[in-house]
Amino acid sequence: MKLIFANSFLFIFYLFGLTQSLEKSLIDANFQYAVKLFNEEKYFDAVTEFKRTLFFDTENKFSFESNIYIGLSYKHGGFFDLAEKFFNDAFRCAKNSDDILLAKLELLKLFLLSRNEPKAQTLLFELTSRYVPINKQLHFESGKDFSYRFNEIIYWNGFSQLYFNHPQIANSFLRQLRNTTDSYYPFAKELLSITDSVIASQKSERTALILSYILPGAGQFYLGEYISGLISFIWNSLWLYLSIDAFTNKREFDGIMILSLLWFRFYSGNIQNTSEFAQNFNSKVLNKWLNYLQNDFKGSKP
Amino acid sequence: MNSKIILKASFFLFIVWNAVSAQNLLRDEPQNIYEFAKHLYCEGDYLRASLESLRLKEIAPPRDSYFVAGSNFPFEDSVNFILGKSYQNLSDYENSTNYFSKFLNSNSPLKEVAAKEYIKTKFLQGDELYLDKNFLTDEGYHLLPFYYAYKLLSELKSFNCVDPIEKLKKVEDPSAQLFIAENCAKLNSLEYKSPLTAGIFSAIIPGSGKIYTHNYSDGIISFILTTLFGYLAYDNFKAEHNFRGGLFAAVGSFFYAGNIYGSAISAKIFNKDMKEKFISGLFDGLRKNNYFIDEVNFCK
Repeated sequence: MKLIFANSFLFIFYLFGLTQSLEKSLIDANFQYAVKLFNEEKYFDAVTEFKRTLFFDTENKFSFESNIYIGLSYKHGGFFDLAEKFFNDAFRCAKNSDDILLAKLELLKLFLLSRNEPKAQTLLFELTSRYVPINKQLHFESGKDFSYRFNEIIYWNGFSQLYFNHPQIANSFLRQLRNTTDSYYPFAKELLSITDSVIASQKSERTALILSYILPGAGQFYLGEYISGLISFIWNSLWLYLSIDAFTNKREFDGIMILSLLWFRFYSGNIQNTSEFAQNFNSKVLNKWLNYLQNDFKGSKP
Repeated sequence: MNSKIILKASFFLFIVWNAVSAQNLLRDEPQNIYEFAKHLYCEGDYLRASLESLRLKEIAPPRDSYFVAGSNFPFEDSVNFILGKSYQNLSDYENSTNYFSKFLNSNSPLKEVAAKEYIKTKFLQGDELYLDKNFLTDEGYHLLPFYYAYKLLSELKSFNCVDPIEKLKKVEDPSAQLFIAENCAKLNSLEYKSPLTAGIFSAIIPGSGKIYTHNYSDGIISFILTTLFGYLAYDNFKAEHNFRGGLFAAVGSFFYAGNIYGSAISAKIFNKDMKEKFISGLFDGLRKNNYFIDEVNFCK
């Protein structure tokens, strides 16, 4: 008798618990299944399952995570516009400041991948002004101390500025590193040394231009383009010589024509050439390091 | 002893049921798939909407009488409709017409809209519209005006609109009548430029053919170039520099011939541009009018 009573009690209890927890556990299970698909790199199915979770998850328990995962899946598939949409949705579903930062950082990585510099710079400015201390005073947002994310923000600032070929700015950010126990610290240190060597091996476009203004071809020599510099020097001196010769022989019209049409053309061509060579030289240096960042660097990447 | 077994069995059953249902109910319950597919369709993710609908058709056997709670339409029908619309939006017109044609012989509440969508898909596909026998039954008779409207629209799409007033009487929808009449007037007022005329113009005055086809900068440049070389040739012949004169004459005649050929091509390009503009205007207008089909209230 007691057993039957216990049995029926248990059964009713089971049923009650079942109806209570069924819906929640279903959504939980679906979310886990979607994460599993994502980890197996089945991104199309993963997006479907995350969207299903989003649709049935009326309590918004997984809305942030699902949106982030959908964004990541689209990012892996190369659909950057859709990924941006879902990261923005995730930002709207964020439950706390950590979530907000995560969504923003994902957006930043996406902008780096799609080489959208204006958007990336705007976002970086926003992140920096929010989370990085000004005048050694840490910013507090709604009572929360973000100093523990400090190195992460600095790291991404350095990475992005280096990526967009502003090694000086990257260097000035990475020099502010602190908190040596942070997991971002060693990689940020490595980035710092990379920016140092980029700055050391890149050549100043301005110096090259000034040299070329003073002596045509000198800028090219400075950049290591000896043949081009020599040719530039020869053409410029030839036309200059001919025009001076014309002036001394009182053939003013010829002199003016050679000076204005030929010499001036070659002189400005020499300046343009120098600027182009300087940019090529610097981007070659940078690309060598970006290649390293892409293939051998162990820190987190977009 | 007996109750112990029952206890064990019920416990076992609970575990199994919970495990099985937790894995499958959300993904495999027809009602849930249907709601989710509808949501995907409304969100604009047509590929996933069509895949979910196909999965639903596999899982749930077709039952015409099965009504879904909260929906005015029979289950099977709404799924077919979502499939048709999704394929239409994915530009897979063959599959789309396939699903819409299932409505033609049915007595579903969605029949009228689906038949209209069927005609629209055929129109988008560029197929010849033919009078389906379903439009001639008593029930389908009120679809005839719509059919005639699309007949006229597909004529417009192939740049053909002759004597529209007689045919427009059969199209009973006043907004459709107005739209077709407007576009017909637009089509008939298109001023095509003849390549022959452009060529003749350019032969008389270099560059004038291009100006005739509204290609002003090219016209002025070819006028200047041809007259410049013509003048140089004339001047050199006059000064008895025969070789130089011949050279300039050769270059000048090359430019002259090129200007005539270019004018003819320019006229052809002008006509093609006008046609493309007309077509894009036609489709913009159709989109604005939702193709003269009433919106089905799937997405609230």
